[in-house]
Amino acid sequence: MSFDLQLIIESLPVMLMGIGITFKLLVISGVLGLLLAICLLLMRISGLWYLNIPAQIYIYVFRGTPILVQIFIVYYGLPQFESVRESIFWPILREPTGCAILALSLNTGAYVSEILRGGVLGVDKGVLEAGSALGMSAHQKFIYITTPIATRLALPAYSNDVISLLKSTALASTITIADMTGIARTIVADTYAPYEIFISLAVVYMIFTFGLQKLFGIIEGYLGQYTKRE
Amino acid sequence: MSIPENRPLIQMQNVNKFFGDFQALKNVNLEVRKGERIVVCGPSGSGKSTMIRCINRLEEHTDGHIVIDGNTLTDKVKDINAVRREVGMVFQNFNLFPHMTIVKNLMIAQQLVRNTSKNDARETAMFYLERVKIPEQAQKYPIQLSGGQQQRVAIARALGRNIRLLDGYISTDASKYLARGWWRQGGANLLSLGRFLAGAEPEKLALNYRKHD
Repeated sequence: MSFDLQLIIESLPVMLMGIGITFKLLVISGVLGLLLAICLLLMRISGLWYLNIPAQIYIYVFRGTPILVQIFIVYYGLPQFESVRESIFWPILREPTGCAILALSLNTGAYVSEILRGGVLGVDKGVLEAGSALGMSAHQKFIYITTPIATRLALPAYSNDVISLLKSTALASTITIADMTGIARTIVADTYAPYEIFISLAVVYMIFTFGLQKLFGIIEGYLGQYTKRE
Repeated sequence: MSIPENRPLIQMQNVNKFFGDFQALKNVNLEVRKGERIVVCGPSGSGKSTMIRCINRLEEHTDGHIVIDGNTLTDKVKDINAVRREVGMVFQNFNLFPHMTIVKNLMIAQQLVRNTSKNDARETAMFYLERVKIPEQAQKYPIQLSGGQQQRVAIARALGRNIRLLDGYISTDASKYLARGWWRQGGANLLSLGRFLAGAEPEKLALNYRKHD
């Protein structure tokens, strides 16, 4: 089997035209997912059953079903309801990009909320007692002690989820979105050269991931200053 | 009505504490007056820490009365925070805030609980760090300090409070700073120690031989 280098050189720039959409899916879903995750976390640790139980059910549903199925349900399923078509969200949900962002956000939010909860549970109880002993209120302890420490503890697992989200954006190509994977699939359909195209696509994702890893490495170094003896 | 000069700042009357069926404190009666330093000694498991922790309500006593500077400890959250503002505590493992610099460790409660301005809080914090002779460590994080130095910071964090508690042990490095810091300050000092240590310099020594098993 021959390896068509010329084809790779020609199609790489075309695939890279989709990097903007991949980036957009990643950043918007990442931010919305994180906000959702914080809400779910607060519901989970509120100590109120009527907030905790719905959050638990939500997390169970979205972790218990494949992301691809969730994308299909949002894209093919939601427009069937008239109320959805008449709602103010229709201009967003009418577009495949809007559907992909919604599904990715809902999915990643469920995972990230559990990652954040792990961070919160990891905060040393003694340090919180010190806060109580100094007269700090529950809110003050949460903001000034729990949040900064939990953020650092959750960061490695969180970066894992962001990288995983990057790869999940490739599933958006299944609902007609021309992200990098979508463009690659079109090129393969035209050229019948899956080997060259998909391998170069994989390399592009790896380079993207490398950038994310570096970024989180820097944030980890910054947030973890207080854990270093020197 | 005038308040007597040597009124007790800590008063415990017939205090009992149960953890389930297990009785950790049995009929404790204790008074610590202004200017006093009292050391409670006893083997581990004899309830020393539990007693100290009842005073700022990190543990709730089961029955009996605890009166701190005239405030009876009850379930009311507002009251307990008023009491805690006046009570400084050095924990067994110091419990400094690991993510804050030393000076920030001393500033945070002043800013949040007493609404002191940032500059005033910093000035007070540096003044206390001078007292325990580690002002040069102000910008470091707790992990970068030795155990003894960390205890000095914890001692400094409790300075400026009327009632001071110490649980656990006194490191040799920190012992002389109790004298330079706490004793000079007036107020009431209550220490619970696994074994007696020279730096404690008690006026009264309460020994607790009863070991629960």
